Amino acid sequence: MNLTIVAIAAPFLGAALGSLSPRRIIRLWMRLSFAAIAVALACATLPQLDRLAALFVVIISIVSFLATLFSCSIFPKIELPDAHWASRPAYFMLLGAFWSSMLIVVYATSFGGIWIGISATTLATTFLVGFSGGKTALEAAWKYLILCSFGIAIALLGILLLGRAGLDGGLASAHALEWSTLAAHGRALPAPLVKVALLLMMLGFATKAGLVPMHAWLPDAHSKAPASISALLSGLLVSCAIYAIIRVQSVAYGSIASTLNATLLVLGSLSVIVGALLMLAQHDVKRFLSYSTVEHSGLVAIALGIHTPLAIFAALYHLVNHAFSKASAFLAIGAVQYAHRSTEIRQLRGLWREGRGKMFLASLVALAGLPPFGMFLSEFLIVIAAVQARQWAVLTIALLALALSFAALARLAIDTESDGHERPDLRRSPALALTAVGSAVLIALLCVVVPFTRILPQ
Amino acid sequence: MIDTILVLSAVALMLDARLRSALIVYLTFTGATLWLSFPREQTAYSLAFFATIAIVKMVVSPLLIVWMVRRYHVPENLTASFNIAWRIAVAIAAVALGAAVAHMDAFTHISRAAAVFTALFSSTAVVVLHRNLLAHMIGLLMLGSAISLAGAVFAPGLSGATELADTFDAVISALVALSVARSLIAFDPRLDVRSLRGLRG
Repeated sequence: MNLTIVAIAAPFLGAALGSLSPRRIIRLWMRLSFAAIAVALACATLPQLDRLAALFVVIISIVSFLATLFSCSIFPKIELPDAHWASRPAYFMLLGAFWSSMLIVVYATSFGGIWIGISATTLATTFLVGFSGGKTALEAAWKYLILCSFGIAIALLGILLLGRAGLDGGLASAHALEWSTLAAHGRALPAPLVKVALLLMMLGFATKAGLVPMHAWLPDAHSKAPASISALLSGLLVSCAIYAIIRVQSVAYGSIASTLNATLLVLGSLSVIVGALLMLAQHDVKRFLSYSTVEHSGLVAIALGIHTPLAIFAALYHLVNHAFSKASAFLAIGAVQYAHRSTEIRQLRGLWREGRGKMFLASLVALAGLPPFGMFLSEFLIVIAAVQARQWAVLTIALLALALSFAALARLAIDTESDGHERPDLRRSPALALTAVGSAVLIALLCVVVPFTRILPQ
Repeated sequence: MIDTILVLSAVALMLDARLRSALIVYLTFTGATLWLSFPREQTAYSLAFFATIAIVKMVVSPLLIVWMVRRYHVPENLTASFNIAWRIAVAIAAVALGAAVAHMDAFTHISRAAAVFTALFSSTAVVVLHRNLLAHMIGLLMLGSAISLAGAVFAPGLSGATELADTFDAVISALVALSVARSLIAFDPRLDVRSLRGLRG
């Protein structure tokens, strides 16, 4: 059997097999073992992939493994027990399905494959967002389902139009949606149809990437999902959608490319400023982090819109940094929520006294773009790319947004530190969960060396 | 003729606020789109996908909606968000916009483009014009049917990929949405979208 298919199926099958044992401790180790096997299988496929896809496979595998590790020790609280998907085996199978569907996105060689992968993520994550069965979680799941279904339908419409353009341009139907074929023969295709098709695809995938004004589902879904799922949604799903946008950009040329880049600059600028402003108004840490995702997604869109080699490098580097930093922040707040039974900022005073609080603080430092974390370098590179491209308006908006988000992060850090006192009623966070959080923080720290390696596509 | 049936049923769905008649009109709309999107290349693969889509959209989904209404005593009023004058205005706008988009340079050489875009805009309008979650489900199912039609009209040569995508879409709309709606009944038996306003995107 093809190794790629095995690597895609492994997370889901592993989660299903891991639920078979009647003993809890065996189930735990089986789930972790199968997750490790899934990572190993994904790594074995790396030589078959181009460097962009390989980079995303590595990120998806590591963050998904950490989320599985975390979920094995801190399981989300179930508020509505008769929600028929609210059970441990179902949770881990949905998590495995989510992981597998993200791998479909990056292993695909055509836009049809990418769409199937993105669509499959919606299928799995709707239940994961509403997993607790609480009222707001279910409402967030509904909102997510409706808005993302319309988003991916728009993308599918674009893909169908691109297929039509390919067929009209003389491409064989089996290759009409492959980006390598489209990039090679793009100029022979009818330009008006290609332009509309690529714009629709970009807008559709931008909905999943949480870019403003299609972002309305993101803060609700990311804040109401269990912490480990929020880590995957913010760290990975948004990255997968941006991966799809990068592939859309790869087949554009001439005036079509200019239109796509301008669209990305507008969406990115709106996202950074709206995300940063709304971060200042939040009282819940998970919701705060969700708006931070909107802001960072916008920053990556700006870099992709600038579209110079340095800007594309910076965009990819920022995605890597964001995936690990945001995953560490959501996992850390999950450990905090387990102990404090709340994510309200005013309920979390004195957080820095605790080990998990220090890890959360470290992830906030990473998200603020402060050294020694890699996000400092990636944000700096995006600014340099904007200066080189003379995108002064976009640069001004991005710098303003960075200043606002820094202020919001500093306020959050101060609010969770001040008036600290001992809380004897707190639960201890399980060691496995803290291992997952610590590993994510450590990897976010190690990302600072990425530009000095040859990991990122040039 | 079939295009007229499609557009009239889309308009009726935007205006109607009663579940039973909306379901009947939905079946007409979906029947018309399925008629137009019947695969040209009748391979076992394409026919199997088409049969799956047809069964999910024409039989399973409507039956599940009716089952949920009877089992949980959900009101059959789809709760219009706007009065009839506004709904008529939106319906006219959706049809006019569909025709206008079909006249863009990119689509002038594609027949039935107007029907596709009208169906797409109408499905979006059905969600916007009603507050009941069952109406949103019908809107999602309409959207899936509109995409099936778009596949048949825009890219008939890509039938395999389109039908696979359609099947995914139908499953998401019908089964996932129904599961979530069923759980939401515990908190709001009227399934009114107003209860979602506690969330601020």
